[in-house]
Amino acid sequence: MRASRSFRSVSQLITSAVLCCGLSDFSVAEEPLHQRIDAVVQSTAIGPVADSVDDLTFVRRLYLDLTGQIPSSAQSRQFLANDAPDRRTQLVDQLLASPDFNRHLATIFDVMLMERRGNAHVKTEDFRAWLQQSFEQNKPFHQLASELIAADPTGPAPATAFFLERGVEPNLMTREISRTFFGRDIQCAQCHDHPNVDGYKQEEYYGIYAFVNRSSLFQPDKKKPAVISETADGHASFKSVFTSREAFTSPRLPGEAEVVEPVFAAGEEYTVSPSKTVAGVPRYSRRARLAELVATGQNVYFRRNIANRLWAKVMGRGLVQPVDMHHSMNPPSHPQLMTLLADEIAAMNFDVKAFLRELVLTDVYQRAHKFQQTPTIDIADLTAAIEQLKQQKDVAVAESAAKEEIVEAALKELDAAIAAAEPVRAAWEKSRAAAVAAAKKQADAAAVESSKRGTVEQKKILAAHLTEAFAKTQAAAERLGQPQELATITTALKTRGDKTTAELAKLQKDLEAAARAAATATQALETAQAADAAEREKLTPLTDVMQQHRQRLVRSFHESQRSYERVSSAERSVDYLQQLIAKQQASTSIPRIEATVASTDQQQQQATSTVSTAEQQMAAAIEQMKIAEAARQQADQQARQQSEQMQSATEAAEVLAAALARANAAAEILQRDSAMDELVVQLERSGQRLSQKVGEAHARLDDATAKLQQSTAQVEQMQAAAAKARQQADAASQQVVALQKTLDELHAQLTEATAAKAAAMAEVDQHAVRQFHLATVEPLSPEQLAFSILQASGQRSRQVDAELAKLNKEKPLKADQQTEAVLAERRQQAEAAAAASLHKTAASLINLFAAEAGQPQDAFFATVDQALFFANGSQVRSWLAPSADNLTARLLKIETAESLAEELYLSILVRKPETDEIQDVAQYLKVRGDRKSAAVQELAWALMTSAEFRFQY
Amino acid sequence: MGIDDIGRVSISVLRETTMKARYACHSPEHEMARRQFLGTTAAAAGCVVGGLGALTTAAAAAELNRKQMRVLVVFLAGGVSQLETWDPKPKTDTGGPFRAIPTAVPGIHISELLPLTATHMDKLSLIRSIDTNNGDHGKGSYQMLHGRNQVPGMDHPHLGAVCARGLERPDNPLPGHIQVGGGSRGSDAAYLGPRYASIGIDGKPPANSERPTDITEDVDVLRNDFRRRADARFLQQRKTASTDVYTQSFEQAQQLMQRRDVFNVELEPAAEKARYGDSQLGRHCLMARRLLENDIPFVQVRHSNYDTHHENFNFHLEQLGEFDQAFSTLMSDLHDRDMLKTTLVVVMSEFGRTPKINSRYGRDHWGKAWSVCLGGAGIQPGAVIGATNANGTEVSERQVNHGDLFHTYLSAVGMDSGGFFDVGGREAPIADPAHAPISELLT
Repeated sequence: MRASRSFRSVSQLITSAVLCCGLSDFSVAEEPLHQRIDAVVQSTAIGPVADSVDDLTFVRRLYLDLTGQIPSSAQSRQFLANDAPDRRTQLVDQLLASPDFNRHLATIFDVMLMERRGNAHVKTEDFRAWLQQSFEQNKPFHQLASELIAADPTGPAPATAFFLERGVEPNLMTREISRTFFGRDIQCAQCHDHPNVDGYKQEEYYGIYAFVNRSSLFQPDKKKPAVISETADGHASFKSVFTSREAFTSPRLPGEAEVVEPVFAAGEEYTVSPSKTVAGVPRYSRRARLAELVATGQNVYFRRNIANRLWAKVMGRGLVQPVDMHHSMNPPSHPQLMTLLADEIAAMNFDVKAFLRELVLTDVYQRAHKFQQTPTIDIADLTAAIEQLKQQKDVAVAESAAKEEIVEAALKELDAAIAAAEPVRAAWEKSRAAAVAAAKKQADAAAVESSKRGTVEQKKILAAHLTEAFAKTQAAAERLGQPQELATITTALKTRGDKTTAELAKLQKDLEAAARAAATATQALETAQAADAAEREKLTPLTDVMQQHRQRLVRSFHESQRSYERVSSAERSVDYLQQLIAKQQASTSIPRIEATVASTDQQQQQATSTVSTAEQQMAAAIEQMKIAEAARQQADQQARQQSEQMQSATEAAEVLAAALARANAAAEILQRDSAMDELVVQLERSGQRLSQKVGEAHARLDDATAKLQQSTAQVEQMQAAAAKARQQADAASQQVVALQKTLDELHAQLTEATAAKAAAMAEVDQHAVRQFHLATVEPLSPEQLAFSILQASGQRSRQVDAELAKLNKEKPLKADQQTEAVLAERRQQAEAAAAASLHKTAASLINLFAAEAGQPQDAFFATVDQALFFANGSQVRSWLAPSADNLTARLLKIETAESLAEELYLSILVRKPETDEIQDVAQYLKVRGDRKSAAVQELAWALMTSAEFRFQY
Repeated sequence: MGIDDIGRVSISVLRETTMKARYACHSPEHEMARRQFLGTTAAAAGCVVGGLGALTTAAAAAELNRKQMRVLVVFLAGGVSQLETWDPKPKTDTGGPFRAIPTAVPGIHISELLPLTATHMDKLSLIRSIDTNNGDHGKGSYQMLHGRNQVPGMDHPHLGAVCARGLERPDNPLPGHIQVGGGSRGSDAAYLGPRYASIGIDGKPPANSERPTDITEDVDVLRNDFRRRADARFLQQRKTASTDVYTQSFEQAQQLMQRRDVFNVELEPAAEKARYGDSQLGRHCLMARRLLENDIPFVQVRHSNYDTHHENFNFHLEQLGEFDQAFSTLMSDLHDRDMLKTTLVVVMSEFGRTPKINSRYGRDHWGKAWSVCLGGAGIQPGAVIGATNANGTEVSERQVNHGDLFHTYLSAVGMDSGGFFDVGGREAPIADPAHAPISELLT
C-alpha cells in the first residue's frame, strides 16, 4: 500500500528533487526535526518501503547504537513489560541519559578521529577519557573539532592527539583534516593534476595544507613530551606533475575564499622564537586560525560532514557513502535531506546528543530489515518518471557545463594573475628575507649592546668599591701615621683602582661602539622593514586580484558541482527505476511462462499416453500375428500333406487305370473269361474306389489350400495392424520429444526469469537500503561485538558485581547511608570501573576484528583466524563456562526446553525463539542427554557465532 | 547533434580524463554513474564500443589463469651485493676477489659463489639495471616490497597483501599471505585490511587451529550444525555479501583445522631436510615448498644478514653458501613438480652494495645500480634486462626502479597492475600509476 502511494508521487517528487533547494517545505520550524526528516524521505520515496521494525529488534538496534552493546535479557524484558504508547521514546531518553551513552560516543569518536592510532604520544585511554568528559559536558562538536585542530599545548593534553599521533606531518594532516572534518578525501590532489577543473582540486588541497605546513612535531628530548612547534613563514606553493601548472595559495577552507591574514613586521612575528631547544609560537598561528574558523561552524562541508557521519553511525550508512567522499559524482542519496541535516545540526549548535536523538526517533531509523510483501509496480508510471528524470538530467548537464566554462575562464585569469604576481611576490620574499635577516642582526646587536652595558655596569661597581676602599685605607693610614703594611695595601689598591678605571674607559668605548652598531642595525632594520612594507604594498593589489579570481573559480566550481550532483542523482534514480521495471517484467513473465509450462506439460503427457496406447496396440497385433502365423504354418503343412496324399492317390489311380486298361485288353482277348471279367470288375471297382479317394483327397487339398490362404491373409492383416500401431507410436514419440524440447526451453526461461527477478530483487533491496527504505544489515563494530559478547555471556554483569563488592568493602555504607541516590551513584561508579576493565579484557578480541591502525575502519572483513578464535580460542569459551549468575549458569537452572530456549534467545539474539527454534533447542538437549552443562555452552556458542549476532539489522 | 549534445560530449570527455588523471579513489557508485553518463554521450558522439564478448572471455581466461598463480619472494635482508651475486665485475677495481662462472645459459655469467644456482639460470632471469636511489634499510624494504616510496600520510599494502587479494582462492581456507619465520599477524596490508595481512609461520600450525580437548569431533559437528541452522533462518530474510563472507569464514576454519599439518615442516622426511641444507634458510625454503604446494598465493622467506660494511667477501662466501644450496634445491623441486609455470620466484633485497670496497674490506649501502633475480610464471626464462657499466658504478642501459618491478611481478602472475582495488567503496590503484611493467621480460 505504502509503495503504491509512493509511486503516485513519483512525478511530483522528481520535480521537487530537481528544484533541489526547495527546502521551504521541510524547514517549518514548529515540527521536530525527526518529523521533517521523515517528511523529506517520504516525499521523495521511490519504490517499496519496509514496515516499522518490531519492538525487540528496535531495542537491540537502539542499545547497540546508543550504548555500544546489546541489552541484557532483563533489560529486554523490562521494555516488553512497558506498554506505554511512547515506550520507544522513553527508552531513547533513558539510554541517552545513561553513562554508557557517553562511553560509547567516546569510543566511536576515538575510532572515527584517530582510526586506531594512539599511544605514541597520547595514551588512547586518556584521549577516550577526555572525549567522554567532553560528551558528558555535551561539548558542541565544532568546539571539540576546534580544540583538536588547535592542539594547544597549554590546553588539555589529550586534545593534541589528533596532530601528535599523526606526527604533525603536513601532508598527512591535510588529508586527515579534509577527510575527518570536511568529508573530502583529497589525498590524490597532493601531486596529480589536470589542466581544467582539476586544477582546483590541487588548489583545495594546498588551501588546507597552508594551514598546517608551518607546524611540526617538536621533541628535542625524547624523555619529555612532544609538542607542536610552528613557524611564522613558509607558504603553500605547488606544481602539477601533469601540466606543470605552478601556483601558490593562502590558507583556504573547501569552497571558501582565502583567509586574510595579519602581517607582522620582520622581527615581530613570534611570541616565542623557535630554536633547537624551544618550540616556536608565532604571534599569528595558521593552525589556530583554522581552529577558529572551524569553531564558527560556518563551513558547509564541515556541517555536511558531521551530520552525515552521525547519520551513518545510526543508520548503517551515510547519505553520502563512503562518508569521506563528498563530491558531485557521489551525490547524497537525498540531496535535500543532506542540506536539511547540515543546516539543522548547525542550528542545534552541533549538539551531538540532541541530533542523535532526533535521528533515532525517525521512522527512517525504525524500518525493518526485510520486506513483508512484494509491492506492485506500474511500469508506465516508472517509464514516464525515467523520461522526466532524463530531461532534467540534460538540463543539469547543460548548467554544469555552463558553470564549468566560467571555471575554466576563471582558472585562466587566476593563472595570469599568479604569473603577474609571481615576480612581485619573489621580490617581496627577498625583501622579507632581508628584513628578517636585518631583524636578526638588530636583535644580535642589541643583545651585544645589552651584554656590554651589563659588563660596564659591573665594572663601574667594582671601580666604585676600589675607589672607596682606597680612600678608606688611606684615611686609616693617615690616622695611624702611615704604617708600612698599610702603605703596601694602599699602593696595591691604587694600582688596582687605576687599572679598573682604565679598563672601564675601554669598556665604555666598546659599549659606545656596540650602541652605535645597534643603532645602525636598528636603522638598517627600519630601512629593511620599510622596504619589506613597500614591496608588500606592491604585492597587495596583485594578491587581491588573484584572490578575487580564485574566489570566482571556487564559487563557480562549487555551483557546477551542485549541478553535477543533480546529474549523478538523476542517473541513480533512473538506474533504480530501470531495476524496478526489470524486476516487474521478470515478475510478470514468470506466471506466463509457468502457465505455458503447465499446458505443455499436459500436452506432453497426452502424447506420452498416445505412444503407450499405440505401443500396446502394436504389441497386441504382433501377438495375434504370431498366432495367425502359427495357424498359417499349420494350414500350410496340412495342405502339403493333402497335396502329397492326393499325388500318391492320383498316381495309384493312374497305375490302376493302366492295369484296368491292360485287364480290359486281356479280357477282350480272352473273351468272357469270367475270372478275367471278375478281375476286371474288381479292378474297375478298385478304380472307382480309388477315383473316389482321389476326389476326396482333392477336396481335402482344396480345403487345406483355402485354409492356408485364409490364415495367410490373417497374418498380413495383423502385420498391417502392427505397422500402423508402430507408426502411431513413432509419431507420438516424436511429439513427446518435441514437447520435451519445448519444456526444456520453458524451464530455462523460467530459471532465467527467476534469476532475473532475484537479481532485480537484490538490486531493489540494495537501492531501498540506499534510500533508507529498508534497514541496513551491517556488521557490528569490533567494540560492539566484543561488548555484546561480554553482555550476553553475563561477563559484564559479573564484572560490575565484582567492582561493586570491592567498593562496598573499601567504603562500606551504613544502613542509614543506603539511600536510593547513593546506591545508584555507587552502581554507576562500579559500572565505570567495570567498563574500564572490560575494555582491557576485550582488547585482543577488538584487535582481531579491527582494521589496521591509520586505515579507514569501515570496511568489513571476516578472516579464518577470527573464526578459529571463536571455534577453539580459550577466551570466549571461558566466558561461557557456567559461573555465578552468568548466562550458562542461568540456563542450567531452567527445567523446560521452552523456557531455556527463551532465555537463550533473549540473552543472545534479543528476541524470543520461534516454534521450530524451540524444537531445535529441545532436540539438541535431548541428543546431548545428561551433558546439559556442555549442551548449553554449545548452544550459546552457536548463537554467538551466528550471523544474526554478528550483524546489526 | 545539437549544441546541447556538443556541450555534453565535451564535458563528459573532460570528466573522463579528469577521473583518470587524478581521482584514484572514486567509489563504484559514482564510477557507475560516470559510465552511464559516458554511455549516453558516447552514443551521441557516434563512438562504438566493440568486442565486449571477446573481452569477457579473455577476462574469464585471465581469471582462471590467475587462480593458479603463486609468488615466492626470497628476501636477502641487509642488502646483498650485486657484485658477489648477479652482476659480477671480476678483474676491475670494484670486482673483489671472486670469479664469474658460466651458467646454464650461454653468455650469462654470475658469481662463483652461486655454482648450484648457476645450473638453474635457464629457468631464471636477471634485472641488472635497478636504481632505487636509496640507501636506507627501512625505506629500501618498503620500496621493494610495497612498490612505492614511503610517503608520510600514505600507506600502501605489501606485495604479499596485494597478491593475497589479487590471487585470492575463495575455496582455499589457508591464509593467502605468509611470512615464513615469526609467528603473528603483521600489519602490512594497509587499506586492503587484515584479511590480507601476513601470517607469520614458524613451522607450527596457526593459533587456535586445534580443537580443545573437551570438544570431540562429534560435538563440534553438532554445535556447528546448530549454528548453520540458525544462520539459514536469518539469511533467509536478508543475505548480503558480508553475511556470506562471515558464515563462510567458519567453514574455512573447519577446513583449515583439517589441513593444519600443512604448516608442520617436521613431517618432511630427514632426507628432504638434508637436501635443503642444515640451516634456518634451508628449513624455511622447505616450508615454503610445502606452502606453495598447498596453493598459497604468496610466500616470503627471509635470509639474514647481508649488511656487510665489514668483511663483505667472507660474509658473502658464508651466507651465499647457505642460500645457494637451499635456493637451488627449491628451484629443482619447483621445476620437478611442474610448478614453475605457475610460480613467480623473486630473489630481492632492500638495495645492493657499493662497488667501492671500503677500508674494512666491506661494501656499504647502494641503491644506484643493482640487481634482482626472478623467474617462473609469466617471466621469460634466461633473459637479462639492462646493464651496468664496466665496473658497476652506474646503470648504462634500461634503468628501472621498484615501481616498475612491482608492476612486473603482478603482471607476471596475470594481474592487471594498472587496475584498481575496490576498498570499501573507494578505489585504490593496485600499483603506482606512474610506473609500468617491464614488458619485454614478460612472456
